[in-house]
Amino acid sequence: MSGNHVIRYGGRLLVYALTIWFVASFNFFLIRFMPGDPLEHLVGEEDYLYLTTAHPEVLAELETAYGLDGSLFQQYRTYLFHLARGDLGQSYKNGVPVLTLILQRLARTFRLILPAVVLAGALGIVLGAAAGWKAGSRLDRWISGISLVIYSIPGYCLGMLGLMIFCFWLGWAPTGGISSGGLTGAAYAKDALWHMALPAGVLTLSKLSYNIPLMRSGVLEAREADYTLTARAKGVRSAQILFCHVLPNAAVPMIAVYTMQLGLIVSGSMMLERLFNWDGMGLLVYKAINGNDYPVLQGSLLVLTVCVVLSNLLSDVLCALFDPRIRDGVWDEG
Amino acid sequence: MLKLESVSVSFPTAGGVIQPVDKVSLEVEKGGRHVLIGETGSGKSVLLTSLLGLSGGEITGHIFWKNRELAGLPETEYAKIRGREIAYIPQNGAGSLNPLMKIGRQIGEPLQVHRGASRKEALAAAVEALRELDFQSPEYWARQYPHRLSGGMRQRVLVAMGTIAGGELLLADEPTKGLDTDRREEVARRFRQFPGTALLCVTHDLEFARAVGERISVLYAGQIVETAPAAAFFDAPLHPYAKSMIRSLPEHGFQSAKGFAPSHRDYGGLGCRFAERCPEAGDACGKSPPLLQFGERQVRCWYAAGSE
Repeated sequence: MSGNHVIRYGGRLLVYALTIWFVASFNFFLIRFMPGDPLEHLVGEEDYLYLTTAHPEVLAELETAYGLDGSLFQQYRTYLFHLARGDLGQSYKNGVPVLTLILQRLARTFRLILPAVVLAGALGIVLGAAAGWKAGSRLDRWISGISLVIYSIPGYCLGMLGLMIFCFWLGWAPTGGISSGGLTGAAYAKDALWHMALPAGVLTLSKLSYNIPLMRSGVLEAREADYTLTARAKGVRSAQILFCHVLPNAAVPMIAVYTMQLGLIVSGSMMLERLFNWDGMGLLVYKAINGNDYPVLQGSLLVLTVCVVLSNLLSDVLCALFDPRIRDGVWDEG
Repeated sequence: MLKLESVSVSFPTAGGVIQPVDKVSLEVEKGGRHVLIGETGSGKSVLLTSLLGLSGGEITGHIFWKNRELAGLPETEYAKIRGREIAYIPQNGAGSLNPLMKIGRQIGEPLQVHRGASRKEALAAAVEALRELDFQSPEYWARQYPHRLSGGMRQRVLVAMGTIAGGELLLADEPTKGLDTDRREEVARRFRQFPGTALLCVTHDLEFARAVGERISVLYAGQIVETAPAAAFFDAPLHPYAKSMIRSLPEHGFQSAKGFAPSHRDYGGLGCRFAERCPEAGDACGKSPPLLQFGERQVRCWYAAGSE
């Protein structure tokens, strides 16, 4: 690891840290610079009007509780200080610490997302590679055609279709929720899987339809690349060309996009969670918006930012591990 | 050894079939060095990859390799010939080496494929090959990835890769592309010295062609317009296009032919393809000239006899 590396990776990390800091500050200032008293946004217009006339002392209490007293600088310092300790405040609705709430929902969301992402990744690589390697064949036309059809259907539509077919017509799947409750052990696991199958399946399909063309174009490009011609001219057999020369090169853009997807998917599955009543991160944000629960909304925004940043970091690390050019910070100079 | 009889290569495109290589006939003898001169788009690279069955185009005519027909050979049979009997040195560009594979492994790959060498043996041979091509500390370079190489080094790596399995015929695509003068001379020297290996090299570098070639063919718009022994050719080319090329050399004052070669789509016409740019064009040029034999030379020009 040379000095160059230290500077490049250090710079990257700094950018990520700045991003998180920027979003945190945005959260802080947004509420304070909106017209009107910040408390009005926190407690809602009606409650605010009621409290100003009937119980001003309650408002003062709330002001302290939400760190809205003192100068702006003092408030900002306290805010950052609390953040550093992982204190994101309490939900306005039920007083539960925001972090606790978010971590619980995040775990549920991951339970839905991880299997979908892993499955969509693995299948996407295999099917996309097959389509790209045999581009123009009947196999390619089927794979690409179906994936294009799925790709053009929005995720929530796909979810509604799934519900209609597997829940209402066939009666195979539950209408929603995470589990039936009151079960333990193997029965619980089975029940959880039963609940998970449809939403995770829908998510897998929609991510798959994104991964297939991505992998396909990567393989197609690598297949036609000069270095592949070089390898063929050496007499290397087809299977080896595919596994040693084409797939590794096609994998680089795939890894980059695939890992970056991870961060976005956490926030992007809101529609699906709402549809299947899956009480995860998406539904938390949805409810916080509807219920004017600002602390939860702000906390969620921050945590989602951290998720995106972390997945970008993961993408950087994996790409650098995989591609020596990225390690050296150079690309083709022609 | 290698004999092309009226080889054409065609590709279907959205705008109709194009034929970048049109009825090319030539012969490379055992140990002989044949240089094909042509400008970009003349069809010379397609011709080379077609000889390896890798251009993807449809081939008509005959390609005889040691009296065996290569055109239409099944892929598995072809793969056994590639890299072992007929080796290929691709055009020297940043994309010609796999960016994710270490250089040593790429050089040694033909040995693994054709000789059943282990990875270790292949790597050791690759290091030796790099040493022979004047790499300082070849062990170090064998462990590097291609992006760290300079253009000149990459050229030598491509040569090492093409020659490691000891082919009988070497096809080289513009081996001096992007190299400065010193390196070009070095490559020319090297290409004259492959023992017992025949060479078919395409280039637009006339100096290089003169330094390396025993026989010269000139390709224009997909057709061979002149084939001659190198000395006679550079002494006095017969085809007007070849003449204009020689005149374009620095010592002759950079006088190149006016205009540009026709594009693949415009090959269809009946007349001589060079007529439009030709200072010697006459009435006969409305009809496509055949390759006319003049002793050891062949020229595709109605008026060649007069200029000899």
